[in-house]
Amino acid sequence: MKELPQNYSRMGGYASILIGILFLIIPAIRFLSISIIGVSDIKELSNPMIMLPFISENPLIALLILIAFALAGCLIFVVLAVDERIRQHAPRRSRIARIVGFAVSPMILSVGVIGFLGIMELSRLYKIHVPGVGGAFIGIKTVVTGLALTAIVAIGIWLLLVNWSSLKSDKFPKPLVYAGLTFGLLHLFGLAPFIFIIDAIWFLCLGILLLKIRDQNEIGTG
Amino acid sequence: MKGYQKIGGYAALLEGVLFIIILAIFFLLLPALGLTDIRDLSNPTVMLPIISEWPIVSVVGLIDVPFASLLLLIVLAVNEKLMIQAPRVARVSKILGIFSPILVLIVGIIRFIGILVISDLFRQGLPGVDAGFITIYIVETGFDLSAMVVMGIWVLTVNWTALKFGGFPKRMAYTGLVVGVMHIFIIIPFLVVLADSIWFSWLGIVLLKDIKN
Repeated sequence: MKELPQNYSRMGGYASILIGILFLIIPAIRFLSISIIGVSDIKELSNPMIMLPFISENPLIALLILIAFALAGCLIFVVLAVDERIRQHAPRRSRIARIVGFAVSPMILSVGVIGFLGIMELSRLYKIHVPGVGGAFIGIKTVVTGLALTAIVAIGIWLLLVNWSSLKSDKFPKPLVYAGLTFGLLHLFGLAPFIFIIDAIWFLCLGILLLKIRDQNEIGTG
Repeated sequence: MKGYQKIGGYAALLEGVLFIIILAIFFLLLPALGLTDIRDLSNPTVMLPIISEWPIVSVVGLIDVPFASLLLLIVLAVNEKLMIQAPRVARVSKILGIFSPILVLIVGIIRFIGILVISDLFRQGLPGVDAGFITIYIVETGFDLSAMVVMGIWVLTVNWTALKFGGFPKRMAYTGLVVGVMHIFIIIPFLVVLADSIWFSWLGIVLLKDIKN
């Protein structure tokens, strides 16, 4: 049996919409956690004196980090769907974009796994009064934030590559392409304070578009 | 044909043996070091005196270097095999497959350097070593589990492709699907390692048989 040309548009479309929704949920969780934990400043979320008693009492909060699993999985399908559309027009650039896009998934996955494991282990060790848990909390928080920022920059590079490749083709609408280029730059320089919100908008638009393309193809071939 | 099949076949057989060695180390080394509870592995008050007395255990981390190298060869060999029937899926699975050895290598190096540096600093009586130990333990375990999940996605992809387009015996492909799911959900780690050993050895035999045929 030989492989037939596949169409990732439908899966990519749904995955992109899910990423958009997840990008809206992430800042909401962040702002909600500030009020639940009872801190006045978001910077206090990295303070072990405040966070360790909280996570030792509520270790199940680690489950929220598992959002990263869904994000990493969905991103693979979005990268495949976008790659499918731009490959013919810019094969070399699309190959690089595909590798960069795929590289983001293990990074996001590592953020989720280290974050999840970190909260579970630190809360356990804190409860049995093991020394050094405070320092370890700062260390883990720094590693997770560093990995997350690396993933944000890598997503920025992917956005720039795919939108640059789409500029000369009519595979994506021009407003989406220009928005993608702008958002990609914002990712690279970390200029946007609400980077998740702009990502949510872009990925939601991309998802709707990919699903529309799929529907049109089905009508065309049907 | 770039000829990765032969070297990939031997690599898969060796990888199968390495999985058994990892299991043996786990079950023999921990009791030998006086560890009765697996949860003590993250406890600096238990682990720091042990690793400062036996810094040689850091060498265990280096097993990940041949492990990652062999895995890379296996990914290339499997990719070569699937490329004939399903070039598009094979291209995707190759990229996914290559990330797994990278993560495994990161784990090995962090484990090796981490134990050496931490045991040395502990002997000097420096403050904050316990915090450093917990951080390194969680980071390397996190990367280790991430590598397992990524490897699971790769195993799942190649076996699903083989089942759909051919390439592996059906029974091996079904076993691979189960191994992939076990990896992704990390169902009883020692069982995952045992299942890996079986699947990779099987893969090695299949790859080497193909060359003879």
